[in-house]
Amino acid sequence: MIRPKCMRAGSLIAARSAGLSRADGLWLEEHIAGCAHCASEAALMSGVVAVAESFEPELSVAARTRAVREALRTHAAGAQAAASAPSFGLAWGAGLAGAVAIAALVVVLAEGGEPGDARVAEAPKDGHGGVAAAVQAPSGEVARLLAGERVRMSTRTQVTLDHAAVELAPQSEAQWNAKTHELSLPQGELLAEVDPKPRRPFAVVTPDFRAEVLGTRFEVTQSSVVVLRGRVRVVAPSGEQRAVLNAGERYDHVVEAALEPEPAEPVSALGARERVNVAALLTQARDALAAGELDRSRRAIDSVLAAKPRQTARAEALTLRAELFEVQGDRGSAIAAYLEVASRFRNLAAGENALFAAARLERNEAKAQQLLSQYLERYPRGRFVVEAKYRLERSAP
Amino acid sequence: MQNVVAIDPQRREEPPDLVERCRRGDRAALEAVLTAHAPYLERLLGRVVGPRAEVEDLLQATLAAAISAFPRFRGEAQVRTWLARIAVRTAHDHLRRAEFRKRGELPSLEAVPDGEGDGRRAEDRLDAQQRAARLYEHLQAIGPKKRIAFLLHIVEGHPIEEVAALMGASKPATKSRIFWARRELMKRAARDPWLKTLAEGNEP
Repeated sequence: MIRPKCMRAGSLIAARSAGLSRADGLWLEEHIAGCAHCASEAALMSGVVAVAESFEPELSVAARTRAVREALRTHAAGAQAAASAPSFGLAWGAGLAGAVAIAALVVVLAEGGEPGDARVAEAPKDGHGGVAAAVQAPSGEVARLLAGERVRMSTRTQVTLDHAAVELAPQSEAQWNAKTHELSLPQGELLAEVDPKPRRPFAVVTPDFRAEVLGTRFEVTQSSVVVLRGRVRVVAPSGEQRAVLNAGERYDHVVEAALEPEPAEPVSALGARERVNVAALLTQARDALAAGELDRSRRAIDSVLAAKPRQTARAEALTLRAELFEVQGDRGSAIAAYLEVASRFRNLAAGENALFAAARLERNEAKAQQLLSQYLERYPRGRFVVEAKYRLERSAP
Repeated sequence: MQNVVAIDPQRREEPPDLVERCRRGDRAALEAVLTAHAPYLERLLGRVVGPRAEVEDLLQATLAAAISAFPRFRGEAQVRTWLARIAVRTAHDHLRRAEFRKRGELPSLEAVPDGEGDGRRAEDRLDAQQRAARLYEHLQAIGPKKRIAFLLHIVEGHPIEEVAALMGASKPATKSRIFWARRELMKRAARDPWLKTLAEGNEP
């Protein structure tokens, strides 16, 4: 027979994760000390919580993005069907494209809420008194980011600077200036958390703007700033203040010159502006895809490819082209385009994503299995390994 | 400041205008809200179903259900709570399905991914996943409603009232579910050496 005291103890043991009052906590401790059954239950529940919490369920950012994308697509397709509209492709595409547009944002927001895989190492001081940072990639590889040195990491990486923790998205480039407390971001995006206590300035500088911080958590891409906590001032290279953002506000940078699909001057003569235009055109291509403006998106993609950009930008443009085919409902071309990315950029995240995307799209089961096996062989530690194995098992006869 | 729009995944309450736009099916607003809450929903789903490959599918199903239901969202609860309720319902339906019961085996230990890095960290992660898989094998023997209530209250630390709200159940029913889940686990601990080690306060 269960004693009333043990009934109460059981409820309190169960409620420990939610928090107990001091009086209840003391009462429970006292009871457990004299009751073997409740002591055993308390230990079991603590063990269960510890085991469950030791494993954090985690999807890759791409998987989360895909889930949002597919949900929007499903909804758009359903709405379209309900309205008996003739163009299924457009609705489907709008859903997919909508998610494509926020992909970059998802990268940071989704992972910003929960720490990702990368571990943070303490920032050592360099021999000259300047501040250096230790960078640790998820692979465990450690590199020192010395003041003035530019780094480019292939995977998501956390960097601890003297009073800020910065998470760099894959394929981002960064350069730390310890004297001015400025982190240059010529390419890619980051999430920064700045400790306000040292009362020292901190800024992230992109080619188009500079985000100054007084103590906050904020995200910077090449075209936007999102403030999660605190305040950020966005300043143009000319020094003109563009915006002061409070928590929950976002600034989008629009490059007017880049909005034209055809550059006004020869691409090769663009010089320093070329990089800006490529980044802006990629943004434009994504936005247009999101808005269902497929022609505009295609023009922007073509402009990027015509500019002969660097490898990552080329990979992104070709990926967007594959997504464009997907949005249009041209599955065959989409698979071919994804496979092209997978073959040309096999060492980039884009290549990995593309191979898995092709496998997902492939309706021929034998071919899909072949692609999944290829994926597992090529990326044994890849971000879609679990899903690839699951799909292979599911499709096995 | 014309380029500034409100979006904050950290804040639990969305601005009313953003919610209103979601109700009207505004794609940008939906994207912002769903993107902001996806990590939380993913964690919740993962916690309820365990280390499984279906979490992505469940997340997608949850988000799709949320998009469809947004026009009916009355704003009586926070968006996050409302989404969590949909996630819990989705997970519950999933757990109940006969098909799931049939292929309810958790991933074999060989199939567990070995993490993204080498060395100690990958081993730790593998070890954590193996232990979690083992725990969920035991939890699988408990009915879905009891199991979900148990996990939300005892592991996730939601108060009884919140668990009841998330599951659309009364407080007494929720308490009862948690009680019976605890009891079932204690019974299994008496028979299973691994759980017994936990009940003795040792790390298995």
